[in-house]
Amino acid sequence: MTIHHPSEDLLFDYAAGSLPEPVALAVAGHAAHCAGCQRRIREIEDVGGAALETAETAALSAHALDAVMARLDAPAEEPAKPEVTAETRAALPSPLWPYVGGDIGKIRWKRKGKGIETADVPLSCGGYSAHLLRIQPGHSVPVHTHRGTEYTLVLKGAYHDGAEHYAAGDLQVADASLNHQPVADPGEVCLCLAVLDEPLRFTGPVARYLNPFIRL
Amino acid sequence: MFEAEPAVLSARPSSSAPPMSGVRMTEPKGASASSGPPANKELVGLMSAVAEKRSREAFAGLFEHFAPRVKSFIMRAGAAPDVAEELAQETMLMVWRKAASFDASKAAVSTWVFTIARNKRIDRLRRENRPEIDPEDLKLDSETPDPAAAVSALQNRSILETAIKDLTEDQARVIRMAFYEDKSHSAIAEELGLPLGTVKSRIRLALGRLRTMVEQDEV
Repeated sequence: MTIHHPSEDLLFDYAAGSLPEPVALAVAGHAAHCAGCQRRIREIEDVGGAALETAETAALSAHALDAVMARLDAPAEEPAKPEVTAETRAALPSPLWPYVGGDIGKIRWKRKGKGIETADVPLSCGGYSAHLLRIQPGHSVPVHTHRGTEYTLVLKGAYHDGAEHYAAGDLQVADASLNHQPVADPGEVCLCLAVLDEPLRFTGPVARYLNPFIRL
Repeated sequence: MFEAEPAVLSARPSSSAPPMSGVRMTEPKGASASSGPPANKELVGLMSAVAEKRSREAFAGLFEHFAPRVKSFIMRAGAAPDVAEELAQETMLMVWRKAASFDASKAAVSTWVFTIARNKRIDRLRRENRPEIDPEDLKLDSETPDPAAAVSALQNRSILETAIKDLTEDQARVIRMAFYEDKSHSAIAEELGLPLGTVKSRIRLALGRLRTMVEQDEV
């Protein structure tokens, strides 16, 4: 049972479609666990549907319907979804499946200190970074602060940041003022998605070599 | 969340609410003009004819109703008319292809079309991927009592559409900016020169008000 939910405005912006991809990923990852948040998202989408229904219209060209009709029998050009392994299904919420190519076993982890490994999550938008984090039981992420907002979704296991406990499905949103040190619970590896909205000056090739948790 | 605040809401008679500016809330044109807009029921009928019988005639009906709305929706997000037209066509093509996955017990047809159009907009105008929950995902809390828990309280389409026209201008404006103009809470706050908290509470009040109106009508 998740305890830490996205705020109303995050759910709203996710449903309306205005959240940037990595933040949407964290919100959707939480909602995959949470029927209450799924219901709220559906409610906002219903308002979107009603807005679409009651809005003014823009006339299409005379041939639009014929053009679409002619394409109905053509095969879909969309790429097939990758197969998702059972291990991946068990470990990750579905919004993350495509980001690991459907196979959690193929993630290339990089060691970032004792008991900590990270892997980049490929994004299609700039200004953000997203990482998967694997923390060994009882180990901690170095104390850090950040310039932007950090969204941490617990995927597996749990951590305590000194103030609160976060378990699978929980989403922690930490702004720049929070100085925290997540410590994984003993007994189980803690897997997280960490999304950081960075000031633009930290993007680009140089930023990749920075430890994502130490921003000066 | 999104709790209704009737004391605040009832203080403003809905009859005095000015119409939404910018976006004209027209009466949707239906297949049968005399009975008003096509009810969700009618659209669901077209959807199942498309899904089960692959009926092109039913698809043409859905196209006639939704394509001009989707085109308008995408233009409001800043797309040129030709791009919006192309995305409207692609949205309708997805409606044809994915018709079998539409579940009338979970969403109104217009909600479903909205989500497809929204994702097309994100994909094309922002060139971003859209993270979504896969129907095969079994991560949902085991405490969840039943699947109906994921059903929205705002499903009653005809009441919701009436209610949306009765929002105050302030509430209507933020809803409009969020849904048509692809603006986040913070972008709306910036554009209107309002504190973020004000935008949050306006959206919350608008949702609360819609919910109150739908629930009152259902009683």
